[in-house]
Amino acid sequence: MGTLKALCYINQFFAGLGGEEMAHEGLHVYEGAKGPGIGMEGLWKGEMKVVRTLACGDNFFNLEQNYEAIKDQLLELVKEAEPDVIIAGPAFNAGRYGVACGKFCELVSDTLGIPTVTGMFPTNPAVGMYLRKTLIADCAETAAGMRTSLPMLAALALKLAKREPLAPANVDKYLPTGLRTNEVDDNSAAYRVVDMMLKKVQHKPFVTEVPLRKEELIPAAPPIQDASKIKFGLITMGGLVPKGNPDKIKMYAAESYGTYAIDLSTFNKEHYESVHGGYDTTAVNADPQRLIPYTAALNLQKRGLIGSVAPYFLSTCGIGTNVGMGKKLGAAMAQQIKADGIEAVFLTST
Amino acid sequence: MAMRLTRRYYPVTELKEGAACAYEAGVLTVNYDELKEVAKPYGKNIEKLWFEVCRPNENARIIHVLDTIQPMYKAEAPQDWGGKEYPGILNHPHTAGNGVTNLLEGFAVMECAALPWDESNASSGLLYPREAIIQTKGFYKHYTPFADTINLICNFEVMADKSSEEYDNDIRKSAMAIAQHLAKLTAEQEPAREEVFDNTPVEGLPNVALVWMCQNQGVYANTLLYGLPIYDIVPTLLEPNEMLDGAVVGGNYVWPTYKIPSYIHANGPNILELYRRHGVDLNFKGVIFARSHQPSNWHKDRCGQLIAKIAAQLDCQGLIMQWEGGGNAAIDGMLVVQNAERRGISSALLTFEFGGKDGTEGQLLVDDVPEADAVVSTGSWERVVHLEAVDVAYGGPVLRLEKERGGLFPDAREAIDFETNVHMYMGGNQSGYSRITAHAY
Amino acid sequence: MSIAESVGANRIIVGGDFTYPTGDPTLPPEREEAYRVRILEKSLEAMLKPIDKPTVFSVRKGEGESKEDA
Repeated sequence: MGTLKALCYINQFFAGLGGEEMAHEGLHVYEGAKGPGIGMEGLWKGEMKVVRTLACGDNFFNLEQNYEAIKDQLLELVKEAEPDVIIAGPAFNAGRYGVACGKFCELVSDTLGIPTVTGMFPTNPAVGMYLRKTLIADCAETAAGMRTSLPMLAALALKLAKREPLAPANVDKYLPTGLRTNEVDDNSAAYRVVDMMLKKVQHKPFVTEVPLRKEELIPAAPPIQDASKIKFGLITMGGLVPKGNPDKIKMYAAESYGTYAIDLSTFNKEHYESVHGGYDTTAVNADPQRLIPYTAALNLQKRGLIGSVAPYFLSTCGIGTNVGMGKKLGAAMAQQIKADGIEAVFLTST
Repeated sequence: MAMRLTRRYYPVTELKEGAACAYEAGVLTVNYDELKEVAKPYGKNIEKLWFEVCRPNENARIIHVLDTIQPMYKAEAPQDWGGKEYPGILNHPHTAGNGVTNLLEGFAVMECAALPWDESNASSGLLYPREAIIQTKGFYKHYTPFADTINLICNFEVMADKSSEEYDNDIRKSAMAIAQHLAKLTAEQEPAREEVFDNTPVEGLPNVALVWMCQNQGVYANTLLYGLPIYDIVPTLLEPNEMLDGAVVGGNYVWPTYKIPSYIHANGPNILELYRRHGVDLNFKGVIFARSHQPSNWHKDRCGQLIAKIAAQLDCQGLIMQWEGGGNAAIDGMLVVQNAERRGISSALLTFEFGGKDGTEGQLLVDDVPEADAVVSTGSWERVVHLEAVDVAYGGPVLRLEKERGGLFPDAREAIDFETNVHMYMGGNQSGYSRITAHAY
Repeated sequence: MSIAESVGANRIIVGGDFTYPTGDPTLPPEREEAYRVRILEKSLEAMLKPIDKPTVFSVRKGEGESKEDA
C-alpha cells in the first residue's frame, strides 16, 4: 500500500495569513502541509501525507454567498487531490471556525463520499450543528492545547483513511454522535458497577455509561376560559380496548392508538378489557369507567359544568414507550380530536 | 454477627444416562425414571415430565424457559435453627447462610413448559408467560448465563383446567426436588475446590450494601423469600450468605428479558463481586431486599425511604442498586438512588437502556433522577435481535409469540428477528452477569 | 415528587390508584361513581387554573402536594 493522502482545511490564522483582521480573506490553496498538518505528518510516520491544504478567512467562509461562490471550486480542488481523508481544523472552541470546518466536511462527504474529520471543544456551538455529519475529535478549548489535540485528530484521520472501523467514542477520543451499539465489554456489568461505586465513594473520577438526560419541559396549556361552552374528550394510556383488541394495539411499547365509540348499554366488562402489559388490570377489567369516566363526564355536562362530551375515547398502552414514539402518538391524537372540535381532555394514565 | 458459609464445588464436565443417578469425578450420571420418582410427590397437576440435555458449544436454542436452578445440597447447618438449601421451598423456612453447602458447578436444572395461555391463567394483560429463549451460539450467547453450562432441561406438560398457582407450585417443587436429589449425590465426596464466604468487617474500609429489588405482581410474576411471595414485604436486610444458599427464588415468567432466575439469586454476580472486594476495598454490609413494582407513588416513596434508611442505619458509604423489571421497577430503583444520595450515600446502579434502533431515538432511560450520575449500561433493550437458525431446539418444537395479536407459532429452529430483546431469557442483564453493554459511537 | 410531576405532566389529579385512575374498587358502586364525579370536578378545576409548572391537585384529604389543596 502506498502512502495515504490527506487534504486539510484550515482558517486564516493557522495558514499564517493573520488574525481577526484577515478573517475576510478568500480561498488560498497550498500544495502540501501547512499549519497543523505539518505536526500531523510527523505523527503519521510516513503512512500518510498532506497533499493539499485549503484555507479561508472565517468571516469569508461563514458568509453564505461567498460559500456558494467557491463551493464548486472547493470540490474540484478536493477531487483533483484524490485524498483518502479530509481533515478540518482543529477549531477548538472557535465558533465561526467550527462552523466552517463542519460545513466543509459536510460538503465533501455528502458530495464526494470521502470520510471527514474535524476537531472541536465539546461546547463549540458548531458541535450541535455537525455532530452527525462529520466525525469530531474531542479537542482542547484553545490552541494552547494543540499538542494534546493533534495526536487524537491525526489518529482518527489515519483510521478513516485506512477505512478501519472506529472504536467507541471514549476510546478513540471523539465526541459521541448519539449512536449506541450493543457490544461485549471487557468486564461484566457487576465488575463495572462495583468499580464505579467505589470510585464515587473515594471521590475519584469516574464516567457514567448512560449520560443524564437533558430535561425537556412542556409548557402548561393556558386555562380554559368557559368550560360550559366547550366539548371535552376522553383519552386513556391504560390500554382499554373493545374485547379482542381489534386494532391489535401492542401491550408494550405501543406504536398506535385506537378510537372507540361508547354506547352506554355495552360499556362494561363484557365488552371491554385492558391489554396494557404493565400493571394489574383486574380493577379496570371489572369496570371500564375506572379508565374512561364517561358517565361521570355526562354528569358534569348535565349540570352545565361542561359543554359536551365526545361519545368516544382514544386509547393506547403507555408502557415501554420511548419519548419519540410518545410525542408522535400524542401529536396524532391531538390533531385528530382538535379536528373534531374537542378543546379539553380528561386523560387517565396508569 | 457475620455469617460464615463454606461452598464446596463439584464440577460437572460430563452428563450421561445410567442405571442410577450418581456423581463421580466430574461425571454426572442421571437415570430419568429415578428423577421422575423424585419429582412425583410434587406433581399432582403435571401430566408429563421428560428430559433433555443441552451441552456447551451446541448450536441450540432452548425455549419456553421458566426458572433455572443451581443444584445445591446443604451438607452442614447449625443444629436447631439452620436452614437447608432453598429454605422454605421443600423444607422449613429456617435461616440459611451458615455451615457447608455442596454445589454442582457448571450445571443447571432448567424448567421448560408451554404454560396455558387461556384466560384463567392470565387474569390480566401482564400475567401471562411470554416466550423465553436462550440461544447458545453466536453473539446472543452473551445474553444468557446458560450457554456454557450443561443444562438438564425438565420439560413439563401440565394437566388441563387447573389453576396457574397449582402449575407454578408443582413445576417449581418438582424441579427443586430434582436439583436437590442430584446435588445430594456429592455428599461425603471431596470437592474440587471450596470457598469461604464470611463478611466480618475490616476496619477502615467503606461500608457498602447491595439493594436487590424483585418483581412480585401475582402468579407467574412473583419472587419468593423463604418460600413465600413478597407482596407486602417491607424492605428487609439479608446477609449475602442467605442469598447464596437460596433464600430467594425467582418465579417471574412474564418478562423473560428481566427475569432473575433462582440460579442467579444464588450466584448473584453483584454479591460475588462485592464479596471479592470485601476486606480489600470495602465492607460488604448486606443485601437490602425489597419488592420492585411498588403499586402506587405512595408505596414507592415509602419503599425508597425505608431502603435508604436501612443503608444509613448500616452506616453505608456506598450502595449498589439492582432491580428486576422495566419502567415501573426503574422508578423504584431511581427513588432509592435519590434517597440514598440525599443521605450522602454514594450510589451506582445497573440498567438496560432504550434509544430506539440505533441509540438516537427518544430518551435512553425510561426514568431517572439527577442523582443517578453513576450508571452502568447493561445494553439496549430496543435493538433488533437476529437469531440465526439452530441445529436443535429444546423445550418444544414451536415458539409462542404475540399472544395479544392472536398468536404466532414459528418453528423453534428457524432464524428469526425480534424488534427488541423482550424474549431473550435474561437479555436485560439486570443482575450484571453479562458483559453486554451499549457503547457510544 | 410524583412520577407524573417528574416526567413533566402539568395538571396532575391524584384520584384513584394507578391501577384504577378514575375509581376505587373498594367502594360500593354509587359511592364509587360519586367519587369519580369528584375526580372530574377536580380535573375541571385544574383546567380552569393558570399554572406555570407541574402541579398536583388531589381529591383526597391531606394528600397531594398542591398548595391549593393544603
